[in-house]
Order: sequence, then structure tokens, then C-alpha cells
Amino acid sequence: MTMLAEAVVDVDKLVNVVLVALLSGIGVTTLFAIAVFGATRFSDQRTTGGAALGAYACLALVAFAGCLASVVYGVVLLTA
Amino acid sequence: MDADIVLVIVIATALAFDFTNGFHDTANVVATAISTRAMPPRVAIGLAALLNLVGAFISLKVAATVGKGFVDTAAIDTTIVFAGLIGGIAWNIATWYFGLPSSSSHALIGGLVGAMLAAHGTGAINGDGLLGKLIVPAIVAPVLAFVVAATAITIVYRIVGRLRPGPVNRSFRLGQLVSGGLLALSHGTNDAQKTMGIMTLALIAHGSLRAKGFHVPLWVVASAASAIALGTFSGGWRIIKTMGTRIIKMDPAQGFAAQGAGAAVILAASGAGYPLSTTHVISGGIMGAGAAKRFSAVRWGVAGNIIGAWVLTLPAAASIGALAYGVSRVFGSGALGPLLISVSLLMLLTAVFARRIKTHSPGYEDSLAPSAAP
Repeated sequence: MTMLAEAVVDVDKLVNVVLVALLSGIGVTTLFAIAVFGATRFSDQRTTGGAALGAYACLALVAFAGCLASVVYGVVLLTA
Repeated sequence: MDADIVLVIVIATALAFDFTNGFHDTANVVATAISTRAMPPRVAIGLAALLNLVGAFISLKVAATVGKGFVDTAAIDTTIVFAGLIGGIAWNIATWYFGLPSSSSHALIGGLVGAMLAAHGTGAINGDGLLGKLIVPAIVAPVLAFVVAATAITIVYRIVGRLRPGPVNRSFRLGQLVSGGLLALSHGTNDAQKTMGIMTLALIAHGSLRAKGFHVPLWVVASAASAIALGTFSGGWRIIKTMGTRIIKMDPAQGFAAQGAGAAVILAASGAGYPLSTTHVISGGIMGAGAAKRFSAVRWGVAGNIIGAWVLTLPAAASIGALAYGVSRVFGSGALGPLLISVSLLMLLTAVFARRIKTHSPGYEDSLAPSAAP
């Protein structure tokens, strides 16, 4: 049964789809959550100030840029 | 002359199917964004329509799979393609009427397979292609979307769970503008392609295109893209209620995770040429995002009804496609059969829509109430 399935299904292609979906779906959502974390912490600590303020801002910006870059890369890859 | 008339009917019917596909599938794309109040319904639907149009131009791999992956292109004729479309449209309308988000894609492919079976028997069906490129991916995709959404939302809650809900919800609502847009784009890369595949198949059957190479003409791409966008814009409010709220009530983070999971799975599959059901995938994503937060929060009963509709789709659409082919052949091999079926379907649709408008008119329910007078 397994051999029949392997003969019919392009397993490599299917595994590739699964991996790409896992990486992009979980990865982009995680990056966005990190950006939200950084932005919210930055907003909370704006009145108190401190060294962490800059760190949270950087975290938010980098994570958001990573999120956006991943999305654009994915769409460009599909178009290509 | 007859062949030309049948081709025109087939192209018109294919575009009508594409319209119903957009109409039927609007909820998949916009329901989560509307239910979490990420955007107002009209904005969500307008954005979805625009990005469906754009997405349809991005990739043609799914069109090639639909056009040559499931049936023998040498045995195809325009009447078979027409009957297949009728199978798909009829099932789409029936499930729309009862508010069940079933798969337009499987309805179309089921209709085509049914019509081909009626015409030439099992020898003209590519069973390996159906199994390897349709059925297996159809089973894998919603499970994959479930896993992606469940994992993603679990990670999200770990990261933002202790923050103030107000800013977090606002941020994820903003994020849903992008995730919802991606989902609409991915829908265009997968669903419009199926109609393009069918239209190209019809052109090959007619002799207007060569079978070798499977080239999709630009006018086919543009017309199919426009039809699905118009259908999306027309909306499907009835199904939106089921998709957005009856499966699970969700917060913006869950909506983002569900839409992101759906877009990731559909785009990955489109890149590989797999024709998926966006209905299945986004439903899997919604259930995954919901179940990860609280397993009992998902209204599994509603989910069960949806699964029931899905299981029925391939055989039901195939049966209608086979019947449509048989009825068409009663009137010979010319254009008369498809013409009569088209006119009958239009009359039925007019009656259905007229009844829908009447039952939803302001005074209708009052008129049904028992009279107060003795």
C-alpha cells in the first residue's frame, strides 16, 4: 500500500509543500508576534524611559522588517 | 458551426462558474477579518476582490494540473467540459443555498470526472493524477493548516500573552489587513486557475489550441481573473456567518494565525501546482487557531456538518456532471443539448434568487404570521 502510494504521489514535492507552509506560516506569525511584543513594551515604557526602550524599539522594527521581507520573498518566489 | 456555439456556451458557463466560485468563496477570505472587526465588511470584500484579481495572474501551474492532470485530453470534447461545469455550478448553488461552505474546486473537478466517466468510462480518467494531485493534497492541506495555525497561535500567546490586550488586539487587527490580503491573493493563485484550466481544455477540445505544451492564452487568464474578482465583490453573506462565527469566536491574534496559515498552505500548494480547496484549508486554519486556545471552544458540530458537505462534493458533482452529459446527448452531439440545459439552469437560478429576495424582503415574515383577526 505504501509503495503504491509512493508510486502515485510525488512525495518529494508534497514534503516540500508541507515544509514551506510550516516554515512560512509559523515563522511569519512568530515574527509578527515579536514585533507586537516589542512595540507594546516600547509603548508601555515610553513614560519611564531607560535603556530597554531602545532595545524594544529595535526589536519591533527588526521583527516587523523580517516579517515583511518574508512575505515579499514568498510572493516573488511564487511569481518567478 | 455547432462546435463554435458549444464552445461559446462552455466559455460563458466557465466564467459563470468562476463568478459563483468567487461568490461562494468570499467567506473563506473575509470571514475571520470581519468577525474580529479587523475591517468593515465592504472594505474586506473590496480588498479580497482586488487581490483575487491580482493573484490570478501570478501563477499558472494549477491551471496546467486541472487541464491535463485528471482526464485524458485526447478524449475530451466541449460537451464533456460543459457537463462538468454544470456539475460544479449546480453543486455550488445548492451548498450556497443551504449555507454550507463546501469546495468549489472539488465540485468542478468532480463534475468534469463525472461527465468524462459518462462519456468514455474509467479508461479516460487519470486515477493516479486524481489520487496524487487532488485527493492526497486535499486530505493533507486542511490538516497542515490546522497544525500551522495551532502551532503559530500557541507561540503567539507565549510571546504576547502577558501584555495588555488592548494594544495587542489592535496590532493584530492591523496585521490582519496583510494576512487577509495574502489569503485573498493566494485564493486567486489557486481558484481562478481551475477555471483557466477548464477553458483551455475546452479550446483544445475545439481545436483552437494545441494539446502539446498546454499554453493558457492571456484573454483566458484576464477573463477568469475578472470573473472571480466580480464574484468575490458580490459577496456571500450567508456563508460568512458560518465561517466567521459559527465555527468559533476568535480574537484578532487567532484570526491572524488562521489567515496566515491558510495563505501559507495555499501559496505553497499553488507553487507546486496542486489545486486545493480554499474552503478546506481556511476551515482547518480556523479550527487549529481555535482548538489551540481551548479545544472545547470549537463548535465541532458545525465543523462536522462542513466535513459532511465536503465528503459529498466529489460524488455529488460527478453525478450531476454525468447526468448533464447524458441529458445533453439525448439531443444529439450538437449545440441543442447544451443550449437547453443552459436555459433551464438560468431559469432555475432566476427562480431560486427570486425566492431568496422575496423571503428576505421586509414584509415577508410578517405575512407568514397567523392573523390576529378571528
